[in-house]
Amino acid sequence: MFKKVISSAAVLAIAFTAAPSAAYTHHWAAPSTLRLHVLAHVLPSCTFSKHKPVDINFGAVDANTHFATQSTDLKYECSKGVVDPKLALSDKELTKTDDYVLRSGHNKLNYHIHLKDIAGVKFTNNNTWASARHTNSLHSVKLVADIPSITLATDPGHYTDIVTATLFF
Amino acid sequence: MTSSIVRLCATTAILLAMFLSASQAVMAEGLTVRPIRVDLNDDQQNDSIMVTNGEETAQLLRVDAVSWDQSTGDDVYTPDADADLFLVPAVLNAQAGETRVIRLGLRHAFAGTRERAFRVFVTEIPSMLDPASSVTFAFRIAIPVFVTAGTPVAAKPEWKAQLNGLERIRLTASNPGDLHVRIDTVSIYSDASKKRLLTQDEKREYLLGHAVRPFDFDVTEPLVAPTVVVDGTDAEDVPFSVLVPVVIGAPVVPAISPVPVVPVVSPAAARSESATR
Repeated sequence: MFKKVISSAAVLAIAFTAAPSAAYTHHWAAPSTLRLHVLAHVLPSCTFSKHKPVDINFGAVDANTHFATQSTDLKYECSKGVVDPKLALSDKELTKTDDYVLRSGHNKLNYHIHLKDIAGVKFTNNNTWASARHTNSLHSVKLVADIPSITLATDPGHYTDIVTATLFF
Repeated sequence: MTSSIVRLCATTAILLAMFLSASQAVMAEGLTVRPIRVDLNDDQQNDSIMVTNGEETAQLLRVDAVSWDQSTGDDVYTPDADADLFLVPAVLNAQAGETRVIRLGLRHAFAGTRERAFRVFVTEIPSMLDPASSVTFAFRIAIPVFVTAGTPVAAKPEWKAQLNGLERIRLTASNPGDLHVRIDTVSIYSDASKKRLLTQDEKREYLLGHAVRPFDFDVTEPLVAPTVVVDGTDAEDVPFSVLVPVVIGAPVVPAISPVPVVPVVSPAAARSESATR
């Protein structure tokens, strides 16, 4: 009888792992906010337009791999004509507690944010992922950071932004 | 008889428990979108996308459709100005645990056999920004929508690989067919070491019909007699694997390079010099 139960259970399990083959479950667990400490001398109010999205290739992701352990870049830059060319932010990797500094001579802003520092991006539903891999409908994910706008508030030390990361299937 | 009923009840209970467990696993938390690809054609001119909010709070989502083009060699998304694809609703507020349906379809039949490509963007709209210094990450899920009409010509991708310098390979993919293919993996092997030099672990890209796309791969060591293997799937989800021979090309020219100093020699002087040799 027990064998029969196991057998039935196995069939049911297969049915449930195979059913969502074309589905994808994304999790954004807290914290989904990356805090940036802005140096006090970032005084001017400045709005940056979005940069052409830059691809992020996670690479091969196994069923048990969390994106949070991946090292991946998000990049964006200021548009020309909006930012004072004498004021720009240096290219550097940012972590949750990083500061960034101003540098003259460039009019672009590049952030390199490692996703390992963002705990909110991960897959936890291994069944969905595994079944999707099985049917080859979800082999890997290309994540693109698309920054609609970045506003540096006039109040130094405050910085808010919404970073939209797009998952292309 | 009684024991049979007990066994049946036990089996049912176990299966029900597994059913509930599996259901929760699929639901979990986060946002579930299904399917992650939509195919429309003459016979099926509309379809739906299911969005389930597995969060504990309501989730406001915006839904857009864009036209997808690769005529420039890269993915270009432009608003669907002609509104060839209709979407309903454009904004939805999914309550916790609620599944909402996005309906999409064609406003009219397309002429020709060339596959049309769109993407449907399902975008999270954050409820509020943290008043402190912060960057809030919102997520957007881009679902491909392919539309075919008539009898399209199957994809016939042609591949060319060129070795530029010792550590860069340019792979050029062209597709004279009407349908797309998807590139899942590009592998580079060095014949000398028989070692797989995978410069980009997974290169998941689409090659749309009548598109030409270049891909550059940099490796960390000199390549000797390299070969390129492209793995992917066609529009019917049939996998393919192609071995691409690599030809020797010109060295890679750096983006910023000093202008070479070329001595100016008149044609007459050149002829004279040639005659003296």
